[in-house]
Amino acid sequence: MTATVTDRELLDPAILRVIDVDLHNAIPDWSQVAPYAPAGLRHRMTRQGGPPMARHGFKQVAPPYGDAPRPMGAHGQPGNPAADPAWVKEQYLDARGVDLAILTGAITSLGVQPNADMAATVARAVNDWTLDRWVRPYSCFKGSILVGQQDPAQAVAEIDRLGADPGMVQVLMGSASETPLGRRQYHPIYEACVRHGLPLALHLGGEGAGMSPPSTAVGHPTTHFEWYGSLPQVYMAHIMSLVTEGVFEKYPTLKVILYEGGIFWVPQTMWRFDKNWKAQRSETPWVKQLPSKYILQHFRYATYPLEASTKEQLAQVLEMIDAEHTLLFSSNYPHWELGDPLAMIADLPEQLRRRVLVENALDLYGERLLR
Amino acid sequence: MPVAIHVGSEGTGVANPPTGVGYPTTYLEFHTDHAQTMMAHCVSLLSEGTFEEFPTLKFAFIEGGVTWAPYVMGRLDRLYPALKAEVPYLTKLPSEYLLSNCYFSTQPIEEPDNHQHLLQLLAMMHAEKTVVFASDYPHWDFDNPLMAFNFFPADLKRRIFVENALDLYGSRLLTPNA
Repeated sequence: MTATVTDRELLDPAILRVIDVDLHNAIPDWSQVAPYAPAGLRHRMTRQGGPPMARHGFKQVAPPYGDAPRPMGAHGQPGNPAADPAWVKEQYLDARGVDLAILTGAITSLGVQPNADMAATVARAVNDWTLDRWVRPYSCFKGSILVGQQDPAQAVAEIDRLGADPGMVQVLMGSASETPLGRRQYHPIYEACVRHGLPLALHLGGEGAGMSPPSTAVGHPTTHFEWYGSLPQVYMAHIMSLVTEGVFEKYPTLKVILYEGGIFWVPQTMWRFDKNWKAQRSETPWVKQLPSKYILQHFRYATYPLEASTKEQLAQVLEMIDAEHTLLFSSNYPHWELGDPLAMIADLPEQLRRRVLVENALDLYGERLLR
Repeated sequence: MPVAIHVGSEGTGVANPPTGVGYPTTYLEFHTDHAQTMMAHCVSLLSEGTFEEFPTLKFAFIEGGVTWAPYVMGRLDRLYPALKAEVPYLTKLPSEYLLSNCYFSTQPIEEPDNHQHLLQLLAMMHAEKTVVFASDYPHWDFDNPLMAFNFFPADLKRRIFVENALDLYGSRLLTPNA
C-alpha cells in the first residue's frame, strides 16, 4: 500500500505504516541558511564553514552512516546522505516504507553556546530554512522548532513565532545544559510548549561542550565510547529535575521525548526516585504523586539505539516502562553506525509494533502530524 | 583486596557538579541523582580497560542502587561492535567485564510494585554473582534485611546475603582479626 499524502486534507492515519520521529537532516552549506539571518550576521554564518558553535572533542570512530544509502558526491566520492530532501525521501523514506519523518537537524549544542544572541539567531535561521527547504515542499517531512534554552525569553519568542505553523510538530532543545532543565528559569519555555500544544524533544550530543559542565557527574569522559555510553545519565538528571521542580504539576499536558538515550535505565530511575520520594517528599510538597507516575505519563523514548539484549529481556523492560504508550520508532538517519534502525527493533513483540511504529507518535504529536 | 566506592559527597569540595548538567536543587533530587555517579564510574572503568589490565581486581559500588547495571551492559554492548576501534585494548564485551569484576550493594534496593520486575533486572545482571547485601544502618533509608527481600528466591537470598560477599572479600572475612 502506498500512502498518498497531500497538503490539503488530513492524512488518514490508517494508511500510515511507519513514522520516524528522529531524522537528522543536514545543513550541507551554511550559505543556504545565511539569507535567513539578519544582514549584519550573515557573514558569521558562512565564515569558516558555519556559525560559531560550542564544541567538544568526542567523535565516533566507525565509518560514518553505517549502511545508510549514500548519494554520489563531489569527485565521485560518496556524499552526505541527509543533504537533499528529494533524495532522502526517495532513497530512505520511500525505499523503507516510512510515511512521515520528523526532522531534528544536526545541532545539539545550541543551548550551551555562550553567545545567546548568536544561538537565537542560528535557531531562527535554521528553523526558517528547514521550513522552506524541507517541510513546505514535502508533506512527508515535519519540522522541529529548534531553540536554545540559555536565553528563555528568546526561546519563548521563537516558539510563539512558529508555534502555529502546521509544518512544526515539536520544540527541540539539546539536553546539554548549564543546569538541570527543571529549574524555574526554563518554565516559560514549557508554558510556551503547552500554549501551542507542542511536545518538548531533548536530544543528546552537546554534553561537555561550551557552557555545559563536564558531561558526567564525576567529570569528563576520555573517549567517545565512554561519553556516548554515559549520556543517558544526563536524561536521568533532567527527569529528576523536571519532576522535583514540579514542572508537570504546573504544566500537566507537557510531554517530553528523549532521543537516543535507550530505555534500560528507566526502571531504575523510577524505582529509586519513588523510594526516595516516600521518605523525602516534605521538601517538595508540590510533587503530589509518585515520581514514576509523572515519568510514565510525561516522558517518551525513541528506539535508536536500543540496548543490546535478548528478546526476552527486551520484552521485560518494555513492560516495565509501559512501552505500549511510551516508545516511538526513531531511525537516527543517517547515523546508522550502530546498525539498521528497523533491524534494531526486530525483537519488538508483535503486539507492540504498530504502537511503536505509528500510534504512539500520533498520540504524542496529534493532528499536526496529519495536516 | 577489593576497591569499594561509596556515594554521598557528590558536588562538594573539588568534585564536579553532581550531574552531567549541573547542580540539583533539593535533597530529593540530589540523592536520586547519586546513582549517576556510580554509572559514570562504572562506564569509565569498563571503557578504559581497567579489568583488562587488572583481571583480578574486584570493584564494589556501594549505595548507588543496583538495577542500573543492565543499562550499562546493554548500551556499551550495543556500541562495542561498531566502535571498538576506539577501545582496542578491550578483548571482551563490556558486559563480560562488569559481570566478572563488579559488585553492587543492595541498599537502597529498588522497590517496584511488581516484584517480578526487580527480579527480572537482577537476573539480567546475574545478581546471583554480582549483588551483595548492605543495610546502610543507621541511615534514614536503610533496608531492613527482614523485610526488603522477602519475595526473593531462597537461593538468590543466600547468594546475596552471604556467598557473594565471601566471593568479593575472600578468606579475610573469615580470618580472626587479632
